[in-house]
Amino acid sequence: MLRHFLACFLSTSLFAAPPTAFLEQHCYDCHDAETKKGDLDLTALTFDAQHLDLLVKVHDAVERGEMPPKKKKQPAEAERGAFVSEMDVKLMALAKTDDQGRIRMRRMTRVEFQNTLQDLLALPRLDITALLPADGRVAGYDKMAGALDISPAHLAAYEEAVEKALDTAIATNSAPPRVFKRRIYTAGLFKFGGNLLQGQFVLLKDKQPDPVLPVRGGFEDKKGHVGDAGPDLEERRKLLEAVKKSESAVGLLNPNLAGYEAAMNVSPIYAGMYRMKLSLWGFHWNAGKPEPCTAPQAAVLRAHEEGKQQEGGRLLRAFTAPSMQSNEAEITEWLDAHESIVFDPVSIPWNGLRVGQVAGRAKKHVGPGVAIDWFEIEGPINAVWPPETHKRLFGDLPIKPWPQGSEAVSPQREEVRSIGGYVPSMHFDLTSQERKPPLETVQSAQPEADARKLLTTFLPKAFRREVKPEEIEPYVALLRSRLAAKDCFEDAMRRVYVAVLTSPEFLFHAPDSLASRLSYWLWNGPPDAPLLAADLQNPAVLRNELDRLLADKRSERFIEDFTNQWLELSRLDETTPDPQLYPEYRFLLHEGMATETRAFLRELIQNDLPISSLLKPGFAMLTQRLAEHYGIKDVHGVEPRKMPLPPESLRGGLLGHAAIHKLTANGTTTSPVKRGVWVMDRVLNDPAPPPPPGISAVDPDTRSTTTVREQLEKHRADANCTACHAKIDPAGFALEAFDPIGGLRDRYRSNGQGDEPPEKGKTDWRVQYKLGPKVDPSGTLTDGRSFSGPNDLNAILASDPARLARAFIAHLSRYATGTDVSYADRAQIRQIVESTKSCGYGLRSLIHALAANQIFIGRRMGAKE
Amino acid sequence: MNRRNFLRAAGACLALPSIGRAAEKLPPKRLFAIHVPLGMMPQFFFPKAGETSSPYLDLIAAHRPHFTTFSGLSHPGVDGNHHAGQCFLTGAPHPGQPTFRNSLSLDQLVAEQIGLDTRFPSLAVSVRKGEHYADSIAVSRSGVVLPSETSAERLYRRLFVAGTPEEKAATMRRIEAGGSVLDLILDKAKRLEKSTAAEDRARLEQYFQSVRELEGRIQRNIEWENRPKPKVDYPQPKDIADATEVIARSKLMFDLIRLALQTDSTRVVTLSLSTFSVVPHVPGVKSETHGLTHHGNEPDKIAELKKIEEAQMTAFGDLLKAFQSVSETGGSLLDRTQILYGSCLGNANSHSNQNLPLILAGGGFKHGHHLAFDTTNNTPVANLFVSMLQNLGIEADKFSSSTGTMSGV
Repeated sequence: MLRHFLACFLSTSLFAAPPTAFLEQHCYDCHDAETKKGDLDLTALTFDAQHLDLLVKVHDAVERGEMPPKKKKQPAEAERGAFVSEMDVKLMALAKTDDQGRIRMRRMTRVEFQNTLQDLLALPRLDITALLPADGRVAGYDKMAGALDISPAHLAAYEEAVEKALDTAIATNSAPPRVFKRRIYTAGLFKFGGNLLQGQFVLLKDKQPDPVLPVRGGFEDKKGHVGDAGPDLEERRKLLEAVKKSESAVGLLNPNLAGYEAAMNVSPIYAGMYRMKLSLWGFHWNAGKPEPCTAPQAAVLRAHEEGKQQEGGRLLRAFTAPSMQSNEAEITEWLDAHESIVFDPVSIPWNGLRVGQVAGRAKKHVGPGVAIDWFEIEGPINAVWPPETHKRLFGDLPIKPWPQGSEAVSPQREEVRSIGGYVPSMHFDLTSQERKPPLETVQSAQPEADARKLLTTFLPKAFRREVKPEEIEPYVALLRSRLAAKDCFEDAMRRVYVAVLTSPEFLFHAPDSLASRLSYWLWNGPPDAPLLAADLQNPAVLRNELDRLLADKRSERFIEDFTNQWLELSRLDETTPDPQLYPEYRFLLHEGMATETRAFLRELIQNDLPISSLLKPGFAMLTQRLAEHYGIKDVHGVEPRKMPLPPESLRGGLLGHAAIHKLTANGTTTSPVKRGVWVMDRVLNDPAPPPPPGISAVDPDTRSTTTVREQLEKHRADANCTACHAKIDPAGFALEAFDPIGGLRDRYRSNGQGDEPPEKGKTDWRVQYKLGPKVDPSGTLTDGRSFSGPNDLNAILASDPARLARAFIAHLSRYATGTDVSYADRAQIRQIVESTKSCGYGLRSLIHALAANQIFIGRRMGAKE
Repeated sequence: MNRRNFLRAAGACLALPSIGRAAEKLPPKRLFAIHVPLGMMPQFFFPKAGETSSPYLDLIAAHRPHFTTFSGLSHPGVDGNHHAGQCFLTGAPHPGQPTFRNSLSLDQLVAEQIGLDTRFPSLAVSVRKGEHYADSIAVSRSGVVLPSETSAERLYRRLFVAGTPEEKAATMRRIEAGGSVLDLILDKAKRLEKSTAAEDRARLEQYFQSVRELEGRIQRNIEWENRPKPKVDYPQPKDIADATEVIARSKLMFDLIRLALQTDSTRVVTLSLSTFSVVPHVPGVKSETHGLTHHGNEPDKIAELKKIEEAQMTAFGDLLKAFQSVSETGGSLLDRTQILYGSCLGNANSHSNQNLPLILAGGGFKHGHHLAFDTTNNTPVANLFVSMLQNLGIEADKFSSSTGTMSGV
């Protein structure tokens, strides 16, 4: 307010000094052609669009008090204010002429492409991003027009991806595939059998060891080990024959170390939706018998791509295994043909030794276990036939036997096969009719008329707008030419759909569609009919639609993609923590971290929590394993729940999230610079400038003779470094309180010298690291405020919620509009933030305010509608 | 004549070389660039002052007359640790920065110039687990990193397996249908242009260019589809499913690439050998590679990482041997192929992109020495690239950030 008044007064006053006078007096000493401090010569600066970025930097540096540097003579407050105001006026004028309309046409990102295709074809699952070239990034976002080029490689890849989607969507038989349903008792499975033989797994009945196959033990050798080839094995092999048909449960005593250790030996012949059920429970194995455990265990089901049973696998679902109590759980998921299903008891820690390597085997083993009573699978489930995916492409046109005497080229068909061999030892008996079904295909008596009809429905959805009849004709002409070239109707229509889905109207987002922009923001996918039809100019309608979009399941895609980009959560998988230093890091912790941050943002938006909650929410979204990691008690199960926290808790807010700590570290060591850069950029929207050329990074040393903080002393000693690092490092120093996996520490873990950790021998995993030097999480900000650790830092940052809100809006607007924040946008951002002040800048309110603002709607600045 | 028109013209008139070259003509020269994204520990790679060997180079000492090593080279302005992988052959600066734009890579420039006579103007191949920064080092003119082939089976099929007549017919139909689709979408783009704001036309222009380039390829594709593929005395491989077998996978790709070059199926190949996220199946190795590269100067970790890097270097030595053993008119395959082997990381532990480890083998250069440049003030790698371009018979006195040619090569 005062600034505005000053600006008005001074710019009209006879005493208004041009900005160059200020520069002369306070800046040229260091920033002229000779001295050129920081490689900056302000004498050459002219007030034109070409120098806009630099002018903004100058404005910001003076406004924030960063320039002139503290040790130089400071201008009077009024003088500084007048300069800043004058600069502001000039910058606004420049930025306006630079701005031709904020939102530009851009192509879809690859995730948007996948989601759009998926929604258009009603496919429950579509996994094609790996076929497409990676998108670029501008300011950390792939949604920005500048990040999204098109090349021949892209067009070729889009075609391949569309073909793959069509392969799944198009039905090639008039009757649905046979449904496979079976309950599997795992004792009879190949891998389970092998493990039961060796004694890694135990046979359990009514929650007790099943006497039919005794717990393996005894026959210890001199070292106390029960060997892989023991005298008891002959007998066990005989007993196992009977066990093959057993309906007893199997208890697993170690987690999967290779892909298919606990393979279900079942693999779909047909892609589709499958209902899977299982019954599982957890226990504490105490040298020969299962007992209650203090907290539930957990297991997952994974699906492995054909031929890739060893590696990775995609997570289908995680399940809680309550202590000594069977949990029957059911999921319905899409499975691709020939994916194999694997069970993994992920809560069982890995202490570096298989059960077989521990003296005495199961008879003497003590530790957590997970039991599986049975597993059921049923599918493919098709409520209607042909499925919805097919109808989206071919409507109600019939699928009929290939017409006799047709001159057209018949369509290609994939071989129907089951996988034989030991991987799935149970395969589905296909009849020869099923293996080689008679050729059928969708047919049309009036192909052009039918194509026109199908496209009249399809094109508007694909192009996300109304489509004129003449726009349909070129595609019908394509059909005509393909039919003339002897394509059958099915193949000819495939060509047409490939053409539609590689047309520029599909690939590019038109800058004038508000509905589309809203859905690609909050759903990361195409708008539905109600959104397209809504009168978004009406504020009440806009508010309603926003709430509807946020309440829809598809908003999960926004949460996932936005946290991936804004908070860089996509980098969580980049590194694997050193297993020596961080033996506690396994799947459940990794999952829990990612889940926390996503559930956290969801919670803040859902309940319109104030922006300060980003840092000091007073609660955390925790799964059991993550809570354990944080030392928070009484959280059970694999699903995240909201746990209230005391005000002095370090956890809950972003700076306490293990995911953030992990992705800003390299798996082995932490870097205050990396974390400081992250905080400056992602939380405060004040990104650090790049390092000067030729600077070599610190050579980290985990033998722990020096701490990384000590190695960074140079940043304080060297005046050239201090300018930037005084700003960057402090947040990083505070976060040194957290190790690379987000655990709280007051000493660095070391593989070299150090003291024995107090937890040694007390954890389920093997502790081999030592404790090295002390961690010092204290620091001082450039404004002089000091902190003793992350809690203080949180309080300091949360004390200026308007600043946090402006930073959040800047990031959100980049994501939502695909346009970077220019100087001209700042006034709008201030307005957006101000309008939500009364509710503490609630996140949901901020979203609403952004959606209603010019920045999002994209009108020319100041232009009349 | 601009490049697009040249391509179109080349496609339109059957400008394909005849099969069965005259025996007197020398075989073409080739470029094969190999990138090792996680680098090589400098204390074991670089020779000490005045020497030409080092612990790693000792492993390939038998081939010393056929390669040159370098120190004190890097791409000016290319920082960003692992991000620099995509700049290995482009030298485009500041890959980690928000304003980064990549540029044409060396291999793609070469492909434009000498690649059009072969079935594949270039091949981008990689060995990796999952998606990472440096899955491909081939970058198009518009700065797009080109996808790389990860399947040995598929690569072999593309190179050497002729389809059945039905498959060929289907492919031809595909290609022709593709042409019709391109016609249609080009037309749509022209119409769209009319209602597109001036500021957005550049975006659409990229689309136009892409469509036209694909159109230009159609004629070529049809002609090559009709040509028989070369026969090789090497059985069709199955992909090695186990990602820990990164050395075996690398060797398999080495074989296939050698065959591809030998049969003149291509003259330009890039290969990225990533050990990211993998515990390589090498005796004595039980930790994931990237974690090991952040060894923090711990002797145990260094020793383990050394085993991995030694295995990689030994495999490279075998590659050199295999290339030497293929004789062609006027020399060996190695003599006619420039092989560049190196990394975008000078020191993985500190993420330094200075002082890159680089080996140049074959190509008819005079080899056997180590060229030492200033390790505090590096010389641009692109200078080497200019020398390589000239050696391939391509007129160029500049490439990316070069300041001249590489003296001593």
